[in-house]
Amino acid sequence: MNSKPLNILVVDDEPLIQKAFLLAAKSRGHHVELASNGLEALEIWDKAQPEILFLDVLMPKMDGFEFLKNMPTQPKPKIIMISAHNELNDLEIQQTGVDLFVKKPFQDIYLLIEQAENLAKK
Amino acid sequence: MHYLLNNLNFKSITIEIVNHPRQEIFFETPESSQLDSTAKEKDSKQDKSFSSLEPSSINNTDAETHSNQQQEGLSRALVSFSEKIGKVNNLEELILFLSSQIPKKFKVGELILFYNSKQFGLRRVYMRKSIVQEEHCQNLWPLAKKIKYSDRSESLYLAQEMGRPFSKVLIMPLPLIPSADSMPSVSSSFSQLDDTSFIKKTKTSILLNSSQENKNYPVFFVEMLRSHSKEQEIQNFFSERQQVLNLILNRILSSNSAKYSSYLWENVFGKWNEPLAIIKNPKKLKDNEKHKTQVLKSNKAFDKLSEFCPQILDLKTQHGHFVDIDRTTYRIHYYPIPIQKKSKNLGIFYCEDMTQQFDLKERFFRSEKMLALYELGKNMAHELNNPLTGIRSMSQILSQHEGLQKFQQEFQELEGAAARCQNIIEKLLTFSQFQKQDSLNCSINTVVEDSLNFLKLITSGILIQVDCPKKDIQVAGDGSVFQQVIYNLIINACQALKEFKQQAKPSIKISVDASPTEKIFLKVQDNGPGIAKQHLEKIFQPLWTTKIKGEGTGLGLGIARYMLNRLGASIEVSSRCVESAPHAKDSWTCFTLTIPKAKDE
Repeated sequence: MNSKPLNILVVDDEPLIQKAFLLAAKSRGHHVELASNGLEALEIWDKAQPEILFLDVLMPKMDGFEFLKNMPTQPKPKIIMISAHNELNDLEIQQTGVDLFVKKPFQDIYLLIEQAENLAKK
Repeated sequence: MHYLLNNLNFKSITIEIVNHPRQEIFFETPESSQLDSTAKEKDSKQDKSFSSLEPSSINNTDAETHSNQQQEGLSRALVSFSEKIGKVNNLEELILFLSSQIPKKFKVGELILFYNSKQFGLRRVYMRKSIVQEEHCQNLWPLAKKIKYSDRSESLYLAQEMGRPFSKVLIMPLPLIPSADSMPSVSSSFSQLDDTSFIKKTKTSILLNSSQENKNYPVFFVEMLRSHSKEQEIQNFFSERQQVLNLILNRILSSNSAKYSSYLWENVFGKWNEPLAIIKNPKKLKDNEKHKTQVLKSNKAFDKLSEFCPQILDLKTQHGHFVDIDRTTYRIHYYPIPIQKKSKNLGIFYCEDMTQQFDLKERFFRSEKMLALYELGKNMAHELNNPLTGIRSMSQILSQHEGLQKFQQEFQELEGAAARCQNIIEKLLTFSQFQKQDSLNCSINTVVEDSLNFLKLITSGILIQVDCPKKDIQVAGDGSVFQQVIYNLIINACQALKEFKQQAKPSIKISVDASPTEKIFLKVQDNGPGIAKQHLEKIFQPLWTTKIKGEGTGLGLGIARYMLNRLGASIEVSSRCVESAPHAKDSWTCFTLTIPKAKDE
């Protein structure tokens, strides 16, 4: 609750995960926008003006990696990639250029948001 | 003739021959019909049998007494001849016997018997300088109708065949050889021996036979070394022995023919592994009466199968279809044999063993299925992870909600359940090698534990003992490989144990031996029926299995060995089989994995 309110964009096709992030982040005072896939994320980008981006990989229409290629240059959020895609090795993960790579399932959603807040401070 | 043949009592046959009216067509007596017949019971023609016993030299005054005496003496000779010839078993013996029986005064040279054999075709067997020889004939011999001396055509024939000139030869036809598969009508015509009707019947049937079947009946040639006055006597001598000779030759040739058929059958079909039979179909009689289908000839495989399945011949309507008998898949073949003779309705019934082919196909498809399942499993695992993550996260959030504080514990349990689901999926992914291990080492203890957890269902009812040192043992290699292998071994053991009825409780023991060397030994031992010695090496071969179709692909151990070898590990098997050591009460099978320890970094 100490950190300043952030604009968070959650891109994931699982409705429960969207809801979870919404509730968790809101309870910590952040503003949350939701998108189900890469395309929707692009549409909603200007409205969201995200400082933090939670990005899933496996999504229909446009997946996480595709989205990264098409992501607008402004603003530049901290990117936390959440992946069920567990086959990437460390080198490939580095090459994605994301700030944090988390494998699904993640243990604690609150912890995750805290980590995001810390990233945003830098 | 058939009737006579069946009477193997030669004494009675002799008497029969003497008393029977002769068949005129072939057994015409020599032209010495100028002699008066002494015993005129019947037709003069019929009595020529007796007239032939008379000497050729015309001596009418003493004819009666002399002929009577001679009759007796010659009858005795004939009886003796008939008895002795009954002991002859083959053509060689026949020729030898004949040559011993011919009086030296006749001065005969070579004896040659020309005959047609089922096996070899036109043949001759002859005696030259006391040695019996058999050869193939180029051409068919001249068919004489009665005993006579040779004329030009016969001399020519002999010269061509035998390679030397022959002067004079006595020719004796030996007809009425019913071949092995002759029509039963011949025998049926002999079923009654009513005198008058007998002659009528036999006359016609013989005529029939002579025209159709006896186109190359055997003929016996006796070489005359000198032409002399005894020609008539010689002719008579052979004439009276003709019928007996005929019978015996008949017997020998039939027996040879039957032996040959049997030999052919045995060598072609008899040893065949697949069931085959020649069957005779029932004829439909009136009033729905049917005879059963008869098996005329069958091989061992067929007999065995028909023991198991007595109604097997009903399957002949299933030509081209597949049937399952006794754990084997057969394709049924039935081919009617086209024969013009009216009473035959024969067919070949054959079961083609398709089990191997089917088996291979099935296994191939199953392994394809396995691959597809792998892909499916991978996708499903990912798909399941998503909602599970959601459930978990939501539970966490709800537990933080002010209004729901009193449900803290429930939400924790909710989250716990979701976490467990994810754990299982994780393990599944690891197991199917879709999860890359972070390190190339793993804990063997964990591997064993995880495998057993997975197999709780299949191991129910079986005692599982684990003998593992408490200390965690790191081994080199991808844990999923070991897990798969152990999984395979345990499943195999469970299957073997479930089928094996024994007094002792079925059990599997898994032990890890952390030897001081750089390798560890992991043993999976069960007290099942064991593996026979001859199979021990085969079990690692791909596609080899003793499991009946439908279970197991036969892929497991072969792949296991391959994967282990790639990691520098190995797998061996040892066993005590219940069959090879019947006195030993305990049979067992033990698989030993040798795995190199993880190198300390």
